[in-house]
Amino acid sequence: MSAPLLEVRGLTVRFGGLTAVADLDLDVHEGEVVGLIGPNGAGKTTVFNVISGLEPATAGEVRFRGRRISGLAPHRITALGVGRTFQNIRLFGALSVLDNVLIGEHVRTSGGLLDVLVRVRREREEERVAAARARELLEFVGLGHRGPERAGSLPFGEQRRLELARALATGPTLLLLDEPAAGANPTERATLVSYIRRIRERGVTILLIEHDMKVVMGICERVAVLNFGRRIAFGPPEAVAADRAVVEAYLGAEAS
Amino acid sequence: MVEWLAAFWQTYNTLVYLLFTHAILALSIYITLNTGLLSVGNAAFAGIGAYTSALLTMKLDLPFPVCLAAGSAAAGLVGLAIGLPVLRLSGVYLALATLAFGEVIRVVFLNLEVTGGAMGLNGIPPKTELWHLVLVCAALIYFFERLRRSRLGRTLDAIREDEVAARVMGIDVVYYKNLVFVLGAMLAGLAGGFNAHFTFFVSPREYGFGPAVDILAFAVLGGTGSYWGPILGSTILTLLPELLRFLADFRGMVTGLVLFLVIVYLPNGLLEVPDVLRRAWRRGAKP
Amino acid sequence: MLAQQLANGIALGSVYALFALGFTLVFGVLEVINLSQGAIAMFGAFFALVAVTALGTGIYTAMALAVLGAAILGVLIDRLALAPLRARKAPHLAPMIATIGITIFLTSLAQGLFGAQVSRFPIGLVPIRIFEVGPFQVTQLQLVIVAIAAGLMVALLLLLNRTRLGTAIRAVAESPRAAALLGIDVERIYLLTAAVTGALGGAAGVLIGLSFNAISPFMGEPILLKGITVVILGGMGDPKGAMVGGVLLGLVEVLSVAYLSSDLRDAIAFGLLFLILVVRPQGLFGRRQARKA
Repeated sequence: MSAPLLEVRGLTVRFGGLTAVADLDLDVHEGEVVGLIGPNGAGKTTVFNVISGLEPATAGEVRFRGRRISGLAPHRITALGVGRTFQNIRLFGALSVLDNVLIGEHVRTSGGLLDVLVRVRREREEERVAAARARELLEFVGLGHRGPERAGSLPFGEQRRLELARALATGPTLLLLDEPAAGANPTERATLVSYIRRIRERGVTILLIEHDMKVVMGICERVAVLNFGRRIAFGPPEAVAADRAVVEAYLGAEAS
Repeated sequence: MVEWLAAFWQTYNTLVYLLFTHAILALSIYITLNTGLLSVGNAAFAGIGAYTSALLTMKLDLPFPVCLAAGSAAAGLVGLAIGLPVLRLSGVYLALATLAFGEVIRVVFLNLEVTGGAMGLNGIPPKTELWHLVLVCAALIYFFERLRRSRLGRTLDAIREDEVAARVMGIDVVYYKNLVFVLGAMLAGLAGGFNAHFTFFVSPREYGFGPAVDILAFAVLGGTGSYWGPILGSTILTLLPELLRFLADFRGMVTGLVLFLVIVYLPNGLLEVPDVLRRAWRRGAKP
Repeated sequence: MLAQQLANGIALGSVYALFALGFTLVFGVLEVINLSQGAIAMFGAFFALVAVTALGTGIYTAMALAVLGAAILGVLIDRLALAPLRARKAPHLAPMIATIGITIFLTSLAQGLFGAQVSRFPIGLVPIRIFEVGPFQVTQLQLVIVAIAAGLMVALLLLLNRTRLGTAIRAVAESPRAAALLGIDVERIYLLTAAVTGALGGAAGVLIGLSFNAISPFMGEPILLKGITVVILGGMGDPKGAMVGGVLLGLVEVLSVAYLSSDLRDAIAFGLLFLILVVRPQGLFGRRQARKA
């Protein structure tokens, strides 16, 4: 087996006295869809925040394509090919749908102060290419007709899809999806699952946080279960679902 | 007619110059506000530009453009030096830090020998001409219009809207914040340089807390939804005291009241007025 | 000599502390930077001046009237400017800018009413007497100032920590929503806070007018800037920090004038402020706020 795309080794994150993530090991291989599940407060989003550079690790490290990325600034990590979405949707609400995706293309474009001042032609060409790519991504998530609208005015499900398009615009090899189906109704949920499948068909590796077991079982090749910051199981969905520790900690908690 | 114009210019040329330099100052704070940074240090940066360029003119008699550029660059350099530590702060803390910075600079002017202490510098040769100001303002409008539709402009919008999301989009937020901070400082320094060369003198008073607040008021009054807002705000607040001359010492009350009413009732500034009227009209149309 | 400077520093510092206390309380409870606090202090000083000169009252009656007037002014500002912004859930910068507008308004109003010149209390309003307290020589004026400032600060701390009202105020400062759920009338607390902070500002204004024996429409701005320095030294929203910070600033100023140069007084104060903000934005005594996820 080749070296994993993402390696998390001994990751520990503490906030004051609280341990959010404890000694976590995780690896994601190219082309996989891996699920990260666990009860609320299990530390899943913290894991994402560390991988994307928003929060520092207390101990341990994260490697991406063999290169250590823990400790790098978030924009550097994004530039290396790690994209993400947020559980609570963080679009640039006052800006247009198209601008949101164009901002996602930040690392793939280069226009700066000089382009604004003098290099008008070069800048125009870059803008044209970027806008074409952005429109293609909007088509891909079914928002082709929404380009000029205010991102904040879109209905909830479309905001989720816009966040997908924006994250894809950064050109990720690995995409971290933080509960992409949270708060969605069953129809929207099915739509989102189909988008995740299609994103994977584009060759993007996916690490997915999800509560809905049906979603997880349906699309994940492997599932890691977190409880109180610790990994209590990791493997194929069927094996994990049968694991007693998981049933007690997670499914048990869900049922009660 | 020609005589009337000549007489008008005689009386009001300073006011016309002020309209332009205030517009530049308003744009200097707009560029940081538009990125979500409330920096109120621009009066101090204008002061740095004013003193630097005036001293170069008076002591070395360098060509005017060189003096202006040096004043602007000096302000930019100071901005660069304090930007890194200060821009880690956000919201009111950034506002207070830049306010403190402004006071430090004012006290420095007040105590340095080369800046002439409390008396400031007198007898600066008048070198600013109307066309300089028109040209600079036109260039700035061109710049802000291009910025609005550029990658850089979008990047700044993103930082203002949601800093965390912007970072995850691959935006080097620290770099861009410093960039706009320095640009704002340079613009303010340029305005200060122009100012010094038509008012004949500079003193620490002109670049203290009061003027810092005035510059902020320009932007707030007009609104920061577009670069026209600050220009509109600076124009109104520059003309208002002239129009209200008959109120003598009470005229500041009108300025204060206008600022207060706008922030309470028109949070997006005067630029919002057409929208508000349209909404009111529509409400009136269908009772 | 040093002992004498320390006494002077404490007298000056206690006034700064009193002013900063009002400023920090507004921030703690309303999460608003109220930049009109300096103008309130200025009006407090003028209220006292008018009481003394036009009504012929003694200084203590004048002081009481000034405090009352300043409290009313504080309430007016809250009702007219801050309450509508709260109702609209405006971003934090809006109230700050609104209070700038109010400051410009009040400064101009004072200029029109009282003139731009510096006014003074009549000589002998507080008897000129010098006391020997241990190694210190203090004037009666200094004693009065320290006594009033300390008295008001103790009264405020007792109010905050020992009364039901104080508990309610602290609850609102912690979380207005939770306080409302507990049945606290949040708007009433805001109103009371505005009155209390206005009163503190007015009292500080009178004491500053007394200690420098100078009252002018422009006195609000330096007071405000000093107040901001103190509040940041002590940590925003922390009453005890404001008191310690106030005395500290008073001492630093007096000592720098005595041993360095009077020109450097403000440079040191604001340099300190700038440095603190950059190095320790939570203030000298504050704890770093827990990071939000």
